[in-house]
Amino acid sequence: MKRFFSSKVRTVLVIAVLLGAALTVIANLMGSTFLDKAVKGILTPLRGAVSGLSDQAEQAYSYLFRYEALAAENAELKEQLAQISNDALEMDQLRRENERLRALNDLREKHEDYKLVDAYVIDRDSQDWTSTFLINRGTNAGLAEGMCAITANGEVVGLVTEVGSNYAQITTVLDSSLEISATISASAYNGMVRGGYTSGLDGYLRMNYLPTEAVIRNQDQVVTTGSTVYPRNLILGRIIDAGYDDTGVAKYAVLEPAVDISTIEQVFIITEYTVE
Amino acid sequence: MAKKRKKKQWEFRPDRPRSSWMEKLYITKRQRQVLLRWGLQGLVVLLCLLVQDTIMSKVSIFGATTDLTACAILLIAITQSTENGCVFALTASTLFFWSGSAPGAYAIILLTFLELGASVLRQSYLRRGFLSTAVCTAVALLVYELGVLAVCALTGVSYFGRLPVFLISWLLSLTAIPALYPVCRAIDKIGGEAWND
Repeated sequence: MKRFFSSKVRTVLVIAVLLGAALTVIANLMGSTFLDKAVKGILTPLRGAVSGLSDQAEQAYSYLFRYEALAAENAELKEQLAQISNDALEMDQLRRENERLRALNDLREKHEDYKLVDAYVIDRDSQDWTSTFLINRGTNAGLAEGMCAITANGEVVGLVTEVGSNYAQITTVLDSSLEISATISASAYNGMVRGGYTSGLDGYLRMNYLPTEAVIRNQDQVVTTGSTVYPRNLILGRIIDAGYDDTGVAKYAVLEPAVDISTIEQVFIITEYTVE
Repeated sequence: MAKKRKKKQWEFRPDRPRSSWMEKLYITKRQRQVLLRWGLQGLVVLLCLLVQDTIMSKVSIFGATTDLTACAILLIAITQSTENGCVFALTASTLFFWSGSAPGAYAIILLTFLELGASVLRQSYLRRGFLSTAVCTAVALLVYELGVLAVCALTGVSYFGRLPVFLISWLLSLTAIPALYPVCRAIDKIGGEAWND
């Protein structure tokens, strides 16, 4: 057994322990260091390239192996379309187009004070207990830590928690480390919303510290109260369940997030807005 | 008329131009092969890291995803001698941490120690080959996943109720071993056998 534990091996083990401990302390005290940012900065273009290749491969796969299914579906759809009158079809198309455009432009129209930077998701975190992803914009595009990420419909996606020159990390609303001051828009009760992972509600949000007299209704919309980080009235989700918390002196509500984090591809970062 | 003397090829040979610094930097063939082997092994880990972060992270089965990077680091390191494996595990896990994909800096300690343990186990009691390497990697990866869960539960970012998800993640990661093993062996053969049994 002794032959395995040479002085070189013992040295490596000591370095591993010291390095692990030192990096843990540094990460807790300072957050990300120069080396973190350098390695991530180098990996970002590679991640973007692999992500792009994977998307193209998926498209090619769909074309090659799902061609028959797509052709059958296409024929069926054509048949259905033939049954619909041209007028109704035109109206439907116009309505859908209108909805899409409205969703994209609504934010700028409603909130002229918002300065937005659009970004695409290039990398998703695969840890079980965190919910973060990387986007392809960083300090070069004017991003900084603590900026809020939203969708085109004004739904909160999360917060910028780390920024490099060409990338930024978004910690999503599903992550238990984020806590957002929120209001039930129908009844104006206030509480704090955080990811439900640690409460056993993986994939959902939990709104805490609601008063015991609060009347909580299913499908009530919950929005941000407004702070220096999150503008007012951004949509967080809808209530699907409620109850008394462990202490019995406050109520909580379970929310279905307004945005599907697992499928989101584009986000908008609010780089500047007027605090009301 | 004097006959013009034919210049013989070997009579005069001009000096070679000054050699570049690369030429002056002398490394032996064996050192070059070792560098190539380490470079290729690093490339395998890098590819696993990119595939994990961009493709496999989208694939979720019962809420669990694979952990390819840790699997690749352990597998490659186990096929080395204990000394080389240890250094490789330490270097690769440090880069793994800096890439932002590792669960924390404690992954450096976990991976280095587990690799050494698995490597000693394999070299002491098992014959070299795919099965022994796969078993040792699987055991090391299982302890790694349990270690990560324990640290996360103790620091409050996760809880022990998530054990099934971590076990599924471990099982999913094991499927990468048959694919990675031939690659590791092919790289190991550069410059002769690296097994140290």
